Amino acid sequence: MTVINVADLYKSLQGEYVLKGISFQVDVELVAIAGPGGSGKTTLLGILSTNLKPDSGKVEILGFDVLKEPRLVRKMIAYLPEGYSAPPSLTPREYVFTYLLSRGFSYGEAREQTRDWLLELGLEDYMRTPIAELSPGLEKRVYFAAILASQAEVLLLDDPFSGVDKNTRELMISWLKKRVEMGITVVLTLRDLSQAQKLAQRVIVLDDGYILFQGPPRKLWEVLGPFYWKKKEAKD
Amino acid sequence: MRLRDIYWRLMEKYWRLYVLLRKLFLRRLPDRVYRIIGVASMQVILWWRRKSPLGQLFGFLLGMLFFVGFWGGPTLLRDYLIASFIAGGWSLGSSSVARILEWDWATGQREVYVASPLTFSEYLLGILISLIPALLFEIWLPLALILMMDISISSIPWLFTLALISLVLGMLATLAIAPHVKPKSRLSIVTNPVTNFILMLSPVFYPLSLTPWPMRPLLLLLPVTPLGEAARIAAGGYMSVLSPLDIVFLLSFWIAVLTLAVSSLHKWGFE
Repeated sequence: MTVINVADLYKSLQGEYVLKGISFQVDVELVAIAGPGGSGKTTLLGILSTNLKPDSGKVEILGFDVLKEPRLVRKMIAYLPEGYSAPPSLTPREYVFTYLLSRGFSYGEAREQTRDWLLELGLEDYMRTPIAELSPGLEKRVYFAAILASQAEVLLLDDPFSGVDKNTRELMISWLKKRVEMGITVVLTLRDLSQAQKLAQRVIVLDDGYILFQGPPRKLWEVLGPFYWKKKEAKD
Repeated sequence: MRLRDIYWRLMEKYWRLYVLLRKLFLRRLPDRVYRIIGVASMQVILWWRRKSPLGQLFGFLLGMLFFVGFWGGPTLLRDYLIASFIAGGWSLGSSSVARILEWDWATGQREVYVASPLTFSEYLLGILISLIPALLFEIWLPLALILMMDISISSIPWLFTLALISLVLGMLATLAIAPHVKPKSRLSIVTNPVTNFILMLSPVFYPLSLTPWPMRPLLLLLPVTPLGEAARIAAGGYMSVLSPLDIVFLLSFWIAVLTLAVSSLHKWGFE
């Protein structure tokens, strides 16, 4: 079943094309969009999350056109932007609870989901600690708790592992994989291609607004060559 | 008497109310109600955590010291207290909305909200509701002081309503300016001086009848002017140059114009 369908997508920012006619499809799976800085990853997620308007092309999520039926699309997605930070004086419990309410959960549902997900993500000792006093890893866990509890069918995560320690990252990946098994689609962006190769079921490599590669991670090196990324990083 | 006994006594007496409240809270309300409550409750918690009530109290006392101590003496106290309903509502609406929008832009909170079932009108309604506790805090001290003066209690609901309208107008004014400001993370640097200037220019702390004739048409073009006049009429003992119909017309005009500006200028996503 096709969850996300992107066809011939163009987007320009400040007079320059950031996305140059890209097309791809995503099923119920964990997809990593990888690419160096400025390759168009964040712009692509901005369009998928209905924050940015494409210049041309077609974007559908679960069969609904993003431009024509944004309200229906927004009910099914949850987005974690790059570098997002919640109000630091809120506690994890307050943040997740108010986030869920703002998505239309009732008091009872929001309270129950908040408790369950904070426990699930190992935040039981920090429920009443202000977010400002949490480590970056724990802070990310709070945002993950909110987004996983949202019951959205498509999760869009922009560079979710930046500033996160290895243990938390492994835990986050395992939670995401569990969600995929439950029928949730996860699209995330990463700079590190080898990380994308390890965790995703499918990788889309963006470079300068074009798709260089899309397919299973095992075929990545066959197509791009083992030194592509190193050369690219050195050039950047 | 033990706590348990008190509980049962209250239950015996007010069980109908208890059943009604229980039904109301256990019943699932429309999703949009929860979404509005979600935005509002986050902002109320933040207002309290930032110790904003202390700042509001300090601002009121400082203003009173300035007006009574340096400007007009105790004779101005009555005018100041009446004006503080309007000025308080306007300042609170304009500056709080600027701060909230600014924060939401800078941290990505707005993007998170856009990519959710929350609509722009629900977001604004949530912010407006979140400002009501702050408004109540803003006016409790002037209210307490005003009750000691020769103002009838029946004028209090009018003053409160006018403070609420002032809050809405302040909020709409900031929202109408916001789309023209870039970068959005510095919104309050532009909007706060503009809205404060409008307030300073408007005859709120002194009556319109005291202003020179040639200036009046200009002053009538400011949204806070009819509110100031209405507040003085509501408090009693003042003959305004504006009739109640003029005031209703001017306020309706400003609310309509600013609402139209906000709805046509603001984008919710798809930037």
